[in-house]
Amino acid sequence: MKNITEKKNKEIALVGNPNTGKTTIFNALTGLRHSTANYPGVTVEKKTGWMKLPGGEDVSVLDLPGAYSLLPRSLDEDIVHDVLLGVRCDTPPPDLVLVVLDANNLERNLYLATQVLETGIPVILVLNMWDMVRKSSASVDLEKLQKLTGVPCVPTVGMEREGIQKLEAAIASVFMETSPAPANLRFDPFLPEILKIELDKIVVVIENCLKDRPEAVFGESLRLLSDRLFRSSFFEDVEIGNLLRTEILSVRSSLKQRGIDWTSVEPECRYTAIEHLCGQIIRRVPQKALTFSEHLDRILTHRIWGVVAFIAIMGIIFQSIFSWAQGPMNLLSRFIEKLGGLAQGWLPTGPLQSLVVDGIIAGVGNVIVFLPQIFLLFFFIALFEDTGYMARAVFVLDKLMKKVGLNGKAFLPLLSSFACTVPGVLATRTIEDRNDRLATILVAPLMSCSARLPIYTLLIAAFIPNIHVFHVLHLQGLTLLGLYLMSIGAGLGVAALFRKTFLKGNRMPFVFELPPYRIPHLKTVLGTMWDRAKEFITRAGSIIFLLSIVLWFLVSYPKDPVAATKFSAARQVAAKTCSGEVLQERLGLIEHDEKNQQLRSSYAGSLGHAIEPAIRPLGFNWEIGIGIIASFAARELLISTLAIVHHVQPEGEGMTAGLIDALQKQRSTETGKLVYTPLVALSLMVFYVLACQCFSTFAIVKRETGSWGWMFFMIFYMTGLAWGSSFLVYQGGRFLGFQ
Amino acid sequence: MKTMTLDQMTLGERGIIQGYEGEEDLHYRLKELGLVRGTAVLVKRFAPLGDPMEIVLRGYSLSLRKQDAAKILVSRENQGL
Amino acid sequence: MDNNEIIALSIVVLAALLALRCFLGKNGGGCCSKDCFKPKEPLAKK
Repeated sequence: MKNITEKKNKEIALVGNPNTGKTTIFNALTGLRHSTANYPGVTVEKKTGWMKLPGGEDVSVLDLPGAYSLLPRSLDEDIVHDVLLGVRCDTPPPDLVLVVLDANNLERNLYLATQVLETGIPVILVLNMWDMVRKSSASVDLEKLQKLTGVPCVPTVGMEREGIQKLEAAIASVFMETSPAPANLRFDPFLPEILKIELDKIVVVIENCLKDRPEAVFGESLRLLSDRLFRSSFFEDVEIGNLLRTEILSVRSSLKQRGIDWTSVEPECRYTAIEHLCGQIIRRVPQKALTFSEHLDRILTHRIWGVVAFIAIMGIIFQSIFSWAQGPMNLLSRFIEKLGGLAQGWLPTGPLQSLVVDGIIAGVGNVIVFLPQIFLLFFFIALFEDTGYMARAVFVLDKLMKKVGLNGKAFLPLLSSFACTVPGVLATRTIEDRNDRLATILVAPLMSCSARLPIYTLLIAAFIPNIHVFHVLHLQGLTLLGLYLMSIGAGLGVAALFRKTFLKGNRMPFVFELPPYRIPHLKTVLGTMWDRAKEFITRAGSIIFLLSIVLWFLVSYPKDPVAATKFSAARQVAAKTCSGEVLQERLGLIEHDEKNQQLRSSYAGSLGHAIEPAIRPLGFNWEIGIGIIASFAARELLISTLAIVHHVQPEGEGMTAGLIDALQKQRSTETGKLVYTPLVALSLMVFYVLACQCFSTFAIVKRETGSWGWMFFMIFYMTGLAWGSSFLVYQGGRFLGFQ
Repeated sequence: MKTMTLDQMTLGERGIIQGYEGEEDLHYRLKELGLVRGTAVLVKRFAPLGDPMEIVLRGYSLSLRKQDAAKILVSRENQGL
Repeated sequence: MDNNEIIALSIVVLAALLALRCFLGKNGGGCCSKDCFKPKEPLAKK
């Protein structure tokens, strides 16, 4: 009888320095798409995929976070270390590791690569960005590298999918091999003999912990020796930890006596060995002329021009987000309006028709309309990342971050928060200091997330005059820019306050790589843009859709039969006493009154009126009140609320135009004055910049801070800030004479 | 050869790393990134606001805050080297 | 209440329930997007 053993799928792991295009290789192998970022420590997500070997076998692929060394100093590097050494309970050690290297930057990239080679795991060296090597005056002898390290070396250009087939073939052949070259023949880091002997003391202690990877024990011992802060998980076990600590200290003093500096011995020896290796495989002809990348850098990071360029670029982006999207938005708007008309025709008059037309289509439609704008926003963010400008922006702005007391690593989480606060907060995991991280989390919601963009746009389009300032600057675009600047200003200000008062902490060092500029790869940029935009669409499809339905109900019920009779009677009277145009006008007024009455006695109306006293000083009325409450679920619902409440009639100009028109003309039934004025709009926008609202944010903050306390504190301080600022804007404006 | 700290170097200057002042955790990371004794570095530029500074070593660019560069001992490369 | 209204109201109830589930469901409340971040795997340290 045949012995049927369950054949486990082979596992491949991808490691490498950040910025090496590791994720592009991952995508090329697995066919999945994920975003590539030009910044260290970007995600701690576990990215897995499947690839098919040329032979047909299915192999699992794991994209590990970027790392500079196997001595971990962040959560990201922890994961890389733990997965490779097989000490993670939920992830089996890989059968093969692809070390992705930036072929133009071999020396530093080889640091991690040589550490990985020493662990004994089967390795393939992937020299990515090979096209740049070809273009440059340098040459890399791949055959020699292969011979010296004993592992396959494959040149690739991830973005163009060049070399991928060769890589797949190499993977297949490695899996077929039964006896890979032993680790100790692959790379010799030139360590002094005494060191190797002393390290044995440590090896003996941890041998049993690394049974899966016996060859990795030596390297691990070396790293344990070098870590001043004893961070390894080996110290978690009290017995082993104490023994280990004793041995390490003894080895250190012993080495010190012999003149060996244990704080530098690994990097120094390793780099010497790497230089030796590179000397044999790299031929470089010195370049005299400055590359394009360097020319660009001179301008973009120049004392004056750099800052000017940054502001100009930001200005252009805001301008375009506002104006370029207009065309597609109008088209979308009219299309949705037509859809509403169709639905109205299909369905018989009654609650169901109202639900679909006044509820779903109005609520969801008015949000979907902003899709072109969202696309543009994400397009620019992706463009930033892909060209490498993002790193320059960090370089230029780092001093500001330092002044405020924020870690430089906070830049990316805060920037992500402009898309959505949730991933922004998650990205703070790369910040080591607790107070640092807390401060960043607490101000992340102040970065205006993409959900607020439709609100700003709608209010600006409706209430900010479409005029030019100084003949060149567009007032509407400027207002939008102003809102975002306020957002950033508030974030930095609050962070500074927190860091100076109760979240005081150490100033952490901050070091990061400045990758060369790249011509953006359109496919990658569009891919990243689409990924992010997809989330927006999903939200519209789910939570906004569902809550629009609920909102419709709250706005349309309870029905007042007495009032219905009253209005019905009024209509009859009108029909008897007038005719023609006068009659139409009368009926229109009656219908308007009826709707308002219905609104006022609805659940939503009652709720809105209940909270109105609290928001009246800000210039808001009960409709906005409901909108604000609805915003807890999703900010965009403010728009949905206004659309549903105003029962916008299709006039052929498109949904949004109709809504804008309704808002501009809305008069209070009590005072007869306009409800929405530019001042009110401004006050509302300021409120939205500063208020902390959506449930998703609450949940993620509670989860990441581990306490309800910080979550409530955040809600409390932001609500106070929003209310106070709106109050200042509205009352201040009235005081100054604006109405 | 005069020994000074990295933040004291001026634009365009080249230097050789001699060691570190003090014992900070960051220093090990810098060593792993290639800033070990004997490494040649070039001061490429300073950020518009004066800080951080960009240095080039081993074929790549690194951004470093001046307060951290102040702990790195370097010696100016002799002319003609 | 005619059929029309009954259908409409049942849709409302369904929507309300689904919305509630979205909030109280995955990850103890929070995002309702497809790509919601999964809870971090239990790390052995830190």
